[in-house]
Amino acid sequence: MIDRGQSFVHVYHRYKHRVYAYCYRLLRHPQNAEDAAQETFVKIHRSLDQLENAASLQAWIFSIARNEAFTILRRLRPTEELEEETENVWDEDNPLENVVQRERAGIVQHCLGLLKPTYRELLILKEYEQLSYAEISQVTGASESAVKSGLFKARRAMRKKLESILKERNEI
Amino acid sequence: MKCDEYQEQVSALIDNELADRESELLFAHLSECSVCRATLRSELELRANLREDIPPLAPEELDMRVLTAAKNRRPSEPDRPGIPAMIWQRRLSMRIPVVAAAVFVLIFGSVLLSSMWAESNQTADVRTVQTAFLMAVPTVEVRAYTMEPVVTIQ
Repeated sequence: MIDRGQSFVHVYHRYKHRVYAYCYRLLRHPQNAEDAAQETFVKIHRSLDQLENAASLQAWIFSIARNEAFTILRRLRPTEELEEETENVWDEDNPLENVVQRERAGIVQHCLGLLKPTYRELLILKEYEQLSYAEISQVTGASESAVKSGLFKARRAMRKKLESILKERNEI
Repeated sequence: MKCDEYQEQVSALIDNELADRESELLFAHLSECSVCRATLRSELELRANLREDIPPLAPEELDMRVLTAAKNRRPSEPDRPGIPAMIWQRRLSMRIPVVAAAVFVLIFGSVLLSSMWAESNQTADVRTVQTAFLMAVPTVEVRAYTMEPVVTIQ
């Protein structure tokens, strides 16, 4: 059993940048990311002493952060089915604008922002947080095989989009 | 297995999530397939590009917001279960067509009920009561064209 108080401060300082970065990359908005991160840590503080298995702390923290970030996403776009299983990996509400003017790293980040949140979060959890499929499965509630195929689809879509943007850019 | 399936395996390979036997089969395929080798190269390139991004740091205000909120909540304070709100105090979340249908049923129902009530009032007994009531009320006659009306009370 983990005790609250000092443990919380330790956990907060250890995870604050990662939680904020995760929320920021998912929400693409600094204030919303800060709100989501704050709510995440308030919930962690409230329930830290109920966490039985310290080994799952990381996945537990990201699952709380995910819920907070998706709550904000739903509030921003209440009509969107965020959990919808679909072949369409692109977020059509997010127009591609002036992307050809950007540098490659910027283009990659912009494309990441264009992905549907469910696919975007898989790439964020894998590429930036370097979680295993089992941990991503714990965070998202999806099966490991769904995580595997979701990552494959997200990467394939990113590669295709990048190829077409860079091709277009070279033609200008 | 088709190339599409091997490419999914390539994605799992760079994530270090393949079993030994799966890796063996994949490498055997990669040695023969230039398309899947190109996929592996571009997956690695994509990873490198994604990881070039410098992670945003949490703003200092977050420390204040979180640590103050945590300090204000005493560590020994147990989490009390919320008192469930009464049904009329809760926020209901419904889709627009459901709300529109409910409003229509309410309006249609009230119109139907009031017309039924009006019809039932046309019975002879009610008419008798109404007549008796009118007879009992004094008649007031107002004559026009005079500055002060002449009022006759019967």
